[in-house]
Amino acid sequence: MNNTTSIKRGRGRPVGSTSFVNVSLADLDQFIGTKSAIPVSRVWLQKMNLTVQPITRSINEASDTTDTTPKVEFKITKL
Amino acid sequence: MSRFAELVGQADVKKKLDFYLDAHEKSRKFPFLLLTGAKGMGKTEFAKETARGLKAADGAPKAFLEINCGTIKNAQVFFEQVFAPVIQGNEITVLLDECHALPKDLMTVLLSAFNTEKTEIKQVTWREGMYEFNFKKQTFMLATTEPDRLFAPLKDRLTHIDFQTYSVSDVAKIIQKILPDVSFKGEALDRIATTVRGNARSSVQRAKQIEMYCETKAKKDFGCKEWDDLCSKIGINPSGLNNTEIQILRALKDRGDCSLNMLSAITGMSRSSLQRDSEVFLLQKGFMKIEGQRKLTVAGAKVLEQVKA
Repeated sequence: MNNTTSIKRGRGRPVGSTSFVNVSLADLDQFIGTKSAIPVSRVWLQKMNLTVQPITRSINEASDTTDTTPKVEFKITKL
Repeated sequence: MSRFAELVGQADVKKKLDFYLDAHEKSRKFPFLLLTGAKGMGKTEFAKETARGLKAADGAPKAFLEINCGTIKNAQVFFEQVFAPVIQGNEITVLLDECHALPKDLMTVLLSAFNTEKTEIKQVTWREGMYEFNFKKQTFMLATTEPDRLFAPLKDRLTHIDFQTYSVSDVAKIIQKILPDVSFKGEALDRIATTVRGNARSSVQRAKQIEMYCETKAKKDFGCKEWDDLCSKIGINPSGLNNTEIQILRALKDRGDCSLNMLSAITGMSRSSLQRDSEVFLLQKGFMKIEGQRKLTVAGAKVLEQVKA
């Protein structure tokens, strides 16, 4: 029987680790133009008093990428 | 005849193909051939050898394209996957193998394209595309084991070349040709040749089995003793009979004359399968006859005696 009261270990983000690093705009400018969209943290935007657009979730139907066109079998021989 | 010197047998086929190749050398014209015959009669090999004689404008043999028609689902895939990228504009010989399996829409297209009375260049519009058959550059041959299933009007546009069963001496030549280093002793080669049912492909397979035997035994001489040993090891029966055929002959011997239904019940095979796969060979060899009922012949009883229980 499972012990549901035990604390799960080894999951989630460890304390102190972070996904973000600091980089200067000048450095970024070398790689991206002024009109490029770059992903930033929503929390950071809120701290900067910028409006955050609500996230709209959209699920794209997985399109069947398998090529169903039947392949013709043929062989070319140079005589 | 030197064109087909490498191929054994089918003298009649060679004569006809030689004639058409001679005509092609002079006029650049070549008929749309329909090669018919049972499996393993050499249709593809002869088509390839014929293609060697069909020269392009620069004097070199044209490339040879072999298409398995059973894999062509419709005319569209043929044009998109084969015709446009490989055939159109090129000097090439095309073999449409198992052509009875061509889709109906493609048969209709070919029926129209192969009408070359007025011009040897035919343009075909199919859906959004336009395709050009140029029979000065492209030669089409068709091959089938089932000519009765071919669209009749298309069949009428084709020049028929029918292949025949290989004789025992032809089969012996094929086997000896494949195994030049093996010395066959006594009647061994003739006995071997009777077991491949006049089929060139089976002759090649039999030669490979003999080669394996000789390599295993480190022998170059192959006589009747070695042949009997090989037969008992891999189950080769007299006249190349298979187990169903032996079962039929045994049933006729033990029970007397039988109906097809009875043979079907005894062997567990369907009536159509028995007729197509077993009875044709037994009738051909004279081991069985049909007079209302199926009957065992004297030859059938004799061959049955040679089969080890």
